Amino acid sequence: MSPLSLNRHTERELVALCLQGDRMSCKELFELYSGRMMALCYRFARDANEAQDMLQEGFIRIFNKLDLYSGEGSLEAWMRRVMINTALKYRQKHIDKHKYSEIDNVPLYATTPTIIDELSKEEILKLIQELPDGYRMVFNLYVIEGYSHKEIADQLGIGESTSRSQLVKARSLLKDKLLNLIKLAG
Amino acid sequence: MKNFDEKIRDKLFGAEMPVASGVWDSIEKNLDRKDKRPVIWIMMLMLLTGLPALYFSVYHEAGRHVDHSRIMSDMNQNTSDAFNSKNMSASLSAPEQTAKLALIESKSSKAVKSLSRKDKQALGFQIVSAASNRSSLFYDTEESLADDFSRSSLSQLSVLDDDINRIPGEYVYSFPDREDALFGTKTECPRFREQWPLLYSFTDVSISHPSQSLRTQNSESSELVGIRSQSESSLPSFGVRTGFGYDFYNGLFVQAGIAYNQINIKFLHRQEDIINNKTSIVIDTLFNSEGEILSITRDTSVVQEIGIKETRGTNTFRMIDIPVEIGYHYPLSNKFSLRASVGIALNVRTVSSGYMLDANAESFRYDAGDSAYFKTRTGLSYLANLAVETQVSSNIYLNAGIRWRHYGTEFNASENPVDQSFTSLGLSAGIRYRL
Repeated sequence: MSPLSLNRHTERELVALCLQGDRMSCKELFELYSGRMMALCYRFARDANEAQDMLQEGFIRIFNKLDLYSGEGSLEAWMRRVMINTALKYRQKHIDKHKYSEIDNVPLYATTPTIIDELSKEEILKLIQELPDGYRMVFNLYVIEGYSHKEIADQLGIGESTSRSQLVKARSLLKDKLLNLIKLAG
Repeated sequence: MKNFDEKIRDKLFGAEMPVASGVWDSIEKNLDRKDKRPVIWIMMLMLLTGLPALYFSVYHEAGRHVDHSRIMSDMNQNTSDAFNSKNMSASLSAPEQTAKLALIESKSSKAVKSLSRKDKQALGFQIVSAASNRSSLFYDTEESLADDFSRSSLSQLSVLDDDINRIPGEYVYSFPDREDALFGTKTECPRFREQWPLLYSFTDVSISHPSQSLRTQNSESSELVGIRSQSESSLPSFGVRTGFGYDFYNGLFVQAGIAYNQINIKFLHRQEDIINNKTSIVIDTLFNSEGEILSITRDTSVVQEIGIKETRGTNTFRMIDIPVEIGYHYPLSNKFSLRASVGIALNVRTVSSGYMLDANAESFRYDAGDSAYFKTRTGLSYLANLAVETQVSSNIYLNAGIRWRHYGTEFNASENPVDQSFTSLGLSAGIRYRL
């Protein structure tokens, strides 16, 4: 269900008003979805500032491309897609020179942590944010957004096999981080 | 793995985070700015194409709707001048002068009719040799039509025009300089030609081979320049432009317009990459001497298979420019002439998309909106043309030649440490239309 239990008719009305250039409706739409979109951006970004930039760029794109929303399917799902594309483009523009160097030394051993329930959303978000760029993108797209490896490969311009390997490494690294966090917490 | 993924997803998918208060204000400002962009573009296009078109259309229309009173006045003046000229006056006898005056003043056409054929010809009347001769205004076989000469409004001229199927052998008075304007057989206006006699419009297309130059001032990126030079090679490119120009009598000409150019670069990059992952599970079971299991340890490891990843595509640079040129027109023979020109092109918009290498020499795709890699600001490029031209009709010229252009170091940006410039050399073909 959409935020504030908006029914689809209301969403459509809001979209129609936005398309007519009604800024108050644009603001209303922004306020309805900005929290969720911020959390989404936060997962793709390195820090809160970057997430805010992504959010801003993403909403500008949403408002400029709103006429492309067919009305079929959830508005939020469509907005998430636009926001993800924006976040990926943003990250591509700000590629880290050493994004893979530190990762190659990470042992790729599987573990079975059951500690996720013990952590808050913010803590998990923070850990995901600490993942290197490539891993974070693939992990977010596959695990949270439900993209297939083929979709990820197309989206990021990489091979499917690369997407798979990045996901394995991301999982492994995230699990290590989770374990470390638990250890530190005592 | 499923369990781990699902737990993460359940925790994060619907999560919300607080948003800073100033974000909406920034978005709103940006939306306002975007709204104004089309208006600016429309205004620029209107300035570039609208004004010359408007100017031309005004005079074009003037040619269709002749200012009758003005032309009538000119015509009277013209006829009087001819009559009063020294040669004409000297060759006419007193009765002839009286007859012509009578004709000009249109008090009576009888004086004209009373003249002999020779005298009529001496006065400037011409004999109609064919019914299709449309250059005549007045003829003496119809008294009423001769009387039309006296009327101040040339509305009657349409009657004359309709009644132009005259009988061969009749006398007419010719105004060759004004005939087209009077009868509207051409759409041009005398005033327009007088003011801008050598104004022309032009359109041409070109195909070229661009050579790309990559440079960097950052020593750390010099290796990247070498790798990129190997990955990027030129493909045939093209351009089209249109505009207006003016030929001066001393051979110089100036022209300006709007141009679209597209440069194509082939991108081909091969790099080592993970092409497959093999997962191996090793289970170690430790038994004691009695065959009982002491411990079981399981290790899962992923072995990466390294292969060659190939990325290929076409990088395009689409540019809209305003070229301004000055040149010299040199006649080679009666049929051909040489037109040489140099100029600058103001780049108003460049959109680029394709593939490039990042600082780690890894390929990635960039889109038209990624201004962090290629700037879209205004810039200058330099151009030179040399063409041979031939005239195919009274106001149409065809030309073909070579075109050189240097785009400067325009295509760099904050996230792209490599300066990228192009120099293209190609063939051009075009048409000029004298307005």
